[in-house]
Amino acid sequence: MKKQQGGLQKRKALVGYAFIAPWLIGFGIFCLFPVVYSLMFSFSEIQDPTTFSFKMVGLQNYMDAFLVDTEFLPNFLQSVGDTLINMVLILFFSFFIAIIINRKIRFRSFFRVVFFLPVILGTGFILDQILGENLQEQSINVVRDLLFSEEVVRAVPAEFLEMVQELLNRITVVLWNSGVQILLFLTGLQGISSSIYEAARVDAAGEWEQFWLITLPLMSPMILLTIVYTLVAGFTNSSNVVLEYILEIAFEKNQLELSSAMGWIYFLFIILFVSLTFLFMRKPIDRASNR
Amino acid sequence: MKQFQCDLLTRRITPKVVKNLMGKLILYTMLIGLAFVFLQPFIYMLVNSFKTYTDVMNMSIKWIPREGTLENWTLAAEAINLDTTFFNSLLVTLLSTLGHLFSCSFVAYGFTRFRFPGRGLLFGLVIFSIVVPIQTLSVPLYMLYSNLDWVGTYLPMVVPTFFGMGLNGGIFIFLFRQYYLSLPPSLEEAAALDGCNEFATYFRIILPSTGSTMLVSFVLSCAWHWNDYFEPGMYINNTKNYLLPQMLPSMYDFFEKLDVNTTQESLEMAMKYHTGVIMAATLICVIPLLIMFLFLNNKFMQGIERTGLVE
Repeated sequence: MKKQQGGLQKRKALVGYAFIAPWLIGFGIFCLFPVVYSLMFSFSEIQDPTTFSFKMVGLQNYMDAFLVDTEFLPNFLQSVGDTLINMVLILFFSFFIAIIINRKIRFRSFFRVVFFLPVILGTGFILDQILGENLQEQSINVVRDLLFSEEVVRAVPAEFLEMVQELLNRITVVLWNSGVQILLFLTGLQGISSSIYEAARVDAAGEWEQFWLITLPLMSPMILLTIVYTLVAGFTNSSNVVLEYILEIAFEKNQLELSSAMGWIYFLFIILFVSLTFLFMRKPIDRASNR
Repeated sequence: MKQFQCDLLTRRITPKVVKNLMGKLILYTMLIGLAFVFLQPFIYMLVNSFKTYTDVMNMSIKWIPREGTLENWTLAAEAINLDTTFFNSLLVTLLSTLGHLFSCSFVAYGFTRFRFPGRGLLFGLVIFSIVVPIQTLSVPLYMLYSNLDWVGTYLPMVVPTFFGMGLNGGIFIFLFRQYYLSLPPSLEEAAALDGCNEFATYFRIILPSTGSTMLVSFVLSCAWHWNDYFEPGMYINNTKNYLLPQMLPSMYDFFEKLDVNTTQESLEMAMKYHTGVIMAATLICVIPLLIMFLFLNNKFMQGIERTGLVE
């Protein structure tokens, strides 16, 4: 009997491997192979660019990235800072928007279509253009026209206006990057059974209490998922300064080895940061959602 | 009717009513404000795409063009070779999306319902494949594709999707896994009792039940592939095979350079290809996705509302 069960387990495992086989092949060819190659580049120096013969130089490129190249570190820090600030704002706005479009509001389907525009347009060149200088200038002016009259503009110092512009600027970027997050939060909100809210209403809990005592704890696993998604999306976004810089080093300055080393430094940082976030937040979140 | 009249008569302006009204006012102001931030770039593009050169240059005309023109749209369609690039993009997008839907739903099932040694580690590698920026791998990948003789074809974009890789492939594996985790195992147990093997169970019972996740993945995969210009930009070098979004960067470049030159010829070009044309071209790239989204919007929302407990 026992042997038979072992056999069954073995069979199950084999079927499992059969199911993931396509991915295993794909991962090997399209991810593992390039990863190994790129790692090798990062530890070596290419001697002949036509045949790609190289010699190992150890950590030289990694040292160069920090010590010789003066632009890498500032770009790196700016990317990290931007991603973190944007993450907080994205989380806040997308949670807020998800909550209001989950309520009974007039023209709900219209608002939903509008708020989901970034989901379908939130990648690619068009987004970069929308958020790029061309339109940014325009959109800032429009918002400013709406918010301030001429007298106000003249009365306040220019620094303050610049700050407001900067803020509006960031909000536009943030809102346009929060499509998938709104989607995730909305899915989470839909998953909370309405009977819980009904029970709370019977117990005379107000909207505010319902939010803090029901919505937030039950949403916490989704919030963690969204934090991780937002971090990864922010770090790997193609308009990220550090990634742009890494590409520039590779293709315009033809320093493949240095660019690979920079890529790996950045990537190690992402992995470390995201897994630490996950580890530190998982326990309290499990506790909150199982209360 | 009587009830209604009574309501009207007994209704007083109590602090509670005022509070409710204020709440609504704030809510809708915020909704409209946020919606404006989202829509504003579109409205701006739409308006400008109908402006003539003189209207574009006239700073006092912001929202309503003095004389509308459709010429920008025809010029833009010509400039981005709409008749070939559109179908190229459609082909690549549909094929890659098909690849993602097929492979990711299949692979995710293996990760969810079977125990095998190394499962945790391998699923960790799925996440790894999402997290690693494609830019870090672009050089070795280019070498790989050029050895396979795939450079210049659509294969680098399409083939990886059939293996659960490609543009954000890992995210779809993750999405499908979330769905399978919510399925009760009794479904498969019943099928096993009826003598279905695991593959038949998957194709006959599990796959047909994935509708809503399929739809969400379809929309996302289509949008991401349609918009992508990084990978096509690396591998497609023949103008005839260009994809739609690839045309935009070169167009913007061209536009920027026009301003610098001051010869008679470039001035004429600048008058012909002004902001309006660029805006029309950008909109042309977006419109197919918008149409798809408007068509699927209701179903898409239902997919998200799978659990359907609201209201």
